[in-house]
Amino acid sequence: MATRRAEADAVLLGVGMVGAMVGRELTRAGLKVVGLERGEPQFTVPDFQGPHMHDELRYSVRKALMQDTAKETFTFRHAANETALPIRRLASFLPGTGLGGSLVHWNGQTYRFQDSDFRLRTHTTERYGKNFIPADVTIQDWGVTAAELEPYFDRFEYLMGTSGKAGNIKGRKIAGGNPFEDPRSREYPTPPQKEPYGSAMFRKAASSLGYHPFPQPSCNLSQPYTNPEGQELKTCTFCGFCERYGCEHFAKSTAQTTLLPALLSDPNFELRTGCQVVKINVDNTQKTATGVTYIGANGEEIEQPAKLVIVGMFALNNVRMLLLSKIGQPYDPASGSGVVGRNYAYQTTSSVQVFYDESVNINPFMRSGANGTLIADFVSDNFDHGPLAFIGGAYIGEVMTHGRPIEFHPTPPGTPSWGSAWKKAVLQHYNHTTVLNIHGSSTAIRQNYLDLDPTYKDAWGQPLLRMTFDFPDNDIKMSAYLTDKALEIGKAMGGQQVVGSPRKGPYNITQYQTTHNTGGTVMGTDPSTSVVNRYLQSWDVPNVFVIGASNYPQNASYNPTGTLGALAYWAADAIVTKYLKSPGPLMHI
Amino acid sequence: MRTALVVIAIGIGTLPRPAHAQGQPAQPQAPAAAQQCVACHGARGEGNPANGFPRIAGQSQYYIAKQLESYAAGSRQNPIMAPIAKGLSPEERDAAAAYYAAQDAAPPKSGAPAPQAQASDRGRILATTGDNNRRVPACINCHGPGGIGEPPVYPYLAGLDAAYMTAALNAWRNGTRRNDGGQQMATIANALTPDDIAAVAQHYASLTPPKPIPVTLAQKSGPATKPAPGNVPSSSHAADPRPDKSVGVGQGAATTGGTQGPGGSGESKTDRSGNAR
Ligand SMILES: Cc1cc2nc3c(=O)[nH]c(=O)nc-3n(C[C@H](O)[C@H](O)[C@H](O)COP(=O)(O)OP(=O)(O)OC[C@H]3O[C@@H](n4cnc5c(N)ncnc54)[C@H](O)[C@@H]3O)c2cc1C
Repeated sequence: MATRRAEADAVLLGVGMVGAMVGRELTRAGLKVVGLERGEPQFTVPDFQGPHMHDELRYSVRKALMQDTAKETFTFRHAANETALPIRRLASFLPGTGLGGSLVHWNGQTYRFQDSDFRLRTHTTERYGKNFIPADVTIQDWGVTAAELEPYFDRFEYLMGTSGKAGNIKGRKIAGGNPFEDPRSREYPTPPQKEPYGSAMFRKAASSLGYHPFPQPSCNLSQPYTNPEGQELKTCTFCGFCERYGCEHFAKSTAQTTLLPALLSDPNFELRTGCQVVKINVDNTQKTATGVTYIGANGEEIEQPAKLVIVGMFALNNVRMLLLSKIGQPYDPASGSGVVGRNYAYQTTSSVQVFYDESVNINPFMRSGANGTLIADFVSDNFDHGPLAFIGGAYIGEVMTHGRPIEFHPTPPGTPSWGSAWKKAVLQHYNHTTVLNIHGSSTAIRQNYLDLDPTYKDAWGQPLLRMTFDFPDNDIKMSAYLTDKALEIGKAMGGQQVVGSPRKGPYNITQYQTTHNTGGTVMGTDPSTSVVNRYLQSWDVPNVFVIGASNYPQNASYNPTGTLGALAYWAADAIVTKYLKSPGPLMHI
Repeated sequence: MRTALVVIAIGIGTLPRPAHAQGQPAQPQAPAAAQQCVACHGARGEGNPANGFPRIAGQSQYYIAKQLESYAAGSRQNPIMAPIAKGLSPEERDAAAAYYAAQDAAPPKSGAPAPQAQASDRGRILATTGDNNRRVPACINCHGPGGIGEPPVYPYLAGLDAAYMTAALNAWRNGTRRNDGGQQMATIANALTPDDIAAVAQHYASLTPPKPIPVTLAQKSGPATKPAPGNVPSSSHAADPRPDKSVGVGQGAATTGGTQGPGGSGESKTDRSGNAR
């Protein structure tokens, strides 16, 4: 029998980015909140300090900060007629575990999705006609607009201290920023990071081709900053150990550096780590959640009753938790009905390498997770898709994050993949090569989805999440077109050799691409195509809020977390100003 | 960073080293530009702590030259150093800096207080671990294990006398020194209490300074030189309070992430694209 704890006003499932943000808003509103985190507590000091933190083998190769696949993983297949197998070593994407979640080891590339992204189906139909969208493409609108989210984007960026340059303040275009961005209310809290040499060459080449380069908005800070929570961040040192690492310098915006000290010192908050949530409990009416069941660090089953349940376990885990708890109708790809697990999407990335001769020193080790320069000329619908016959786009940028010795070995095609000739080539090219990123959108299609695996179970005996995914034809076309554009820019950068190929199928689960898994608990205004309403409230069980990139109906060109931060504040605001006043559904259909 | 620098800096050791005769270091000849330094910092840069002049032997040429430039420009204020630095041309500063960077002066005399007696736990903890509540990262992140520095940018701290270290931290604190681009030192020094400053200064004074690592900025390839072993206290690892994460969930498999595109180690035969995060 499960031990029953005293009822909380709200329980957080996961204390990563979303958990910390929403937890802070709810405790501030006076709620007693219990945060349940499966992993260990971890802090900048002592956990992320050098020289241990710069152990590439431990953190990049052995993935010390990631979800432990020996306990809990995902199964994968390319199509519904295959049998899925468990992913025993994480590679393509790297969800974190432990206090602070994936934000601990993220890069900090911080964007706002565009208004056309939030209204993708409507916008595409308006601009290109109703036959433009292929039948199996299930893209849809989000139910919110960029203008509605602006104050929440702003708040998130000021929480993080994001370093960037505005391109559009209240409709006034600002030179040097992103000219394609929707109006923002004010400048970024801190100026852009310094521009590395490779990025400067990209800027020059992109400008010469008529594009509009701008500095990448970064959560590796360009100067000291104190956020509205009173948390002080320091300046990034360009150490080159960002993605997959904790930041030793208090210079990367994470839950640890921006929120946790304030949250943890709030008497309304109680953190419990080592707590694996296994189920959201629902009463007989199936309309009200009564709390959650979790397994404590010593293996004991514990019931935590709560009036409000906040699911912030990272996109993939959010979907799984709803399926395990039987909240919402699971998606069935055969009939196209059901919603939980529907519209799983990813990110369509490729890259171009520019090889210089030995007179050009790139110093790739002198980088940060989110420095660099890019163009948004091919993001979303910023260019005419009519003749191209695909949906979506990508940013192209010189946004290298590191030159770490185990992971970065640029060699031109034709180099043997091992032996002394390989070593010689690495030595020759290491410091004279730069890489362009093509970071593209991902359309949702009927065939790609998430459900529970019929065979494989986790360490607690619960079915794993099964992923069925391959790159849609639309995205393969997009990648081909935009990788060509990047090759042109690479050539204009004056490299001796410019090499790159677009993303092609089949999707390779053993190669890192991004941890930008989206969809499965889609938000919207129609319960037949969404799991949560536009306030991220479950249609079926209104005291459950599900918050994560799992809310995205499809994925846009930019990295997802800036938009997720805005949505988390948007949902928290709805809870505090609307839901708490009169608990119940916030939208009626 | 250190690894990367060493990779790039392969081929050093071209700077003149002082001659040694029968175990007795010969008196080196300071170049003309360094003549003025000798009186206070010593012919070998050993310093004169009793009179408030720090050791500079074996700090990198880049670091010493940058300090001279800052004294001249006023971003590091000091009534003694400012006129001297202003009187030197950039070339003379470089020459003086190169000379002292190559000096292998004897460690400070053990007439100084016995290290263990003086150095407190607080100083060692700040140096090696930091303080989360005060948002102070460990000094070793930049200044190297054992305070041996990360040349050329980050100076060594090991063996610098406590009075100089205290004065330097106070200069960061009160803004008379503002010559680091990111204001790291200002924010850190401001977060320390006077007791913390004293403790960390004592800690570094108790350590042995490193041998010079003759890194110059313009490196040409040539034979590799091993950095001289510094003073890395082995106990700093034994006392590590962190949980052991050395196994990790990848369980030793080769990295498969194509994090920087083809040529990043994640490249596979079927798919040479892939980058991004
Ligand atoms: C290597 C890497 C680089 C990235 N770089 C960028 C970038 O540059 N830009 C960008 O926009 N995004 C980036 N991201 C994505 C970003 O980290 C995520 O979007 C963000 O962290 C998601 O926040 P979240 O709260 O949804 O999930 P998380 O921050 O992952 O938090 C989820 C928490 O829930 C906990 N949890 C899960 N299951 C359970 C359970 N059963 N019981 C209890 N607790 C549980 C987890 O342990 C975790 O702490 C990156 C991600 C990775 C991995």
